Amino acid sequence: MFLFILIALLNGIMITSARIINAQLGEHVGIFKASFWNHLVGFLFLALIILPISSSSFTVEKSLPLVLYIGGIIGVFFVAINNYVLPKIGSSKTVILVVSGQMLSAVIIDSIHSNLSKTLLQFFGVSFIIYAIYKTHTSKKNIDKK
Amino acid sequence: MPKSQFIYWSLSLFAGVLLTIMIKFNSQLAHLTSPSLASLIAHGIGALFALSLVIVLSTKTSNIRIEKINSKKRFWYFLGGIPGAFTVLLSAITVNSDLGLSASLTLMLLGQMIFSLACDHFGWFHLAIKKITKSDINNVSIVFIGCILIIFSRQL
Repeated sequence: MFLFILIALLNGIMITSARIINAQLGEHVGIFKASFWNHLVGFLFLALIILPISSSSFTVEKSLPLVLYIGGIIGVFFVAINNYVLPKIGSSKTVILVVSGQMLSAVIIDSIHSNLSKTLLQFFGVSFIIYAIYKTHTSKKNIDKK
Repeated sequence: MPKSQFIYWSLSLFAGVLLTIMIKFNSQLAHLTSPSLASLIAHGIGALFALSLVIVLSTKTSNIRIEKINSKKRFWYFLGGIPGAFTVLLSAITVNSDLGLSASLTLMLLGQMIFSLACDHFGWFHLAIKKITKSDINNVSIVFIGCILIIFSRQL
């Protein structure tokens, strides 16, 4: 169990490293070019690891094509925006805001089919996040003078 | 708050919304194939799409480009995709362990937040040094508590 906890924490470190490193590249080559490298290197790395060990045949189902494209395309913009924002407001603020946006939108999507106790607890979670955003927003210390 | 700050903030929040939508689609894809294969496909499509974007936007004005004057481009700047792709494999390990999805997500968020604070504080990866303040820690903790509430409410 302890090992899995470490792996999950390490995973968080991986995500942050990936975002920061790619944002540094974005500073030099432009945010979309950096997003391209992010996806290309990721693709090659995954191909190198997955393809030799996976023997499962890839069956194309009817519902696949649209799903196939949209996730990858959105990913390009996600990485590009990250690359644009991160060097300006710092990595921790970027992480907080991205996670907040992610959680808030997930709750909204979830609330479409949800029960009361779940919605109530999520409402508490949302208020914590909005409070933190508001706090950081109003705290003078955190405003960059650049 | 200066106008530029407001734009960065809104963009970051919007990036989070994009992430939610992206995960929605990619998990559908993962459901029809497998998590690692779905990620491989998403990266491949992403690379092709980004390449075509770069070609289309290759006029000076449209590709936002800020040269860092005092820093060198290093070869490992190109390797950010590796930890990014590695995430898929590590997630597969922890989500399928006793931790399950909720605890995995929570720990991943915790790892992200603590590590990003450390990177800002010490200037790792050549980031501009931003010392951690008490309010930073407060805000990270509050967001983290909010995340835990939201993530674990999914089990209700």
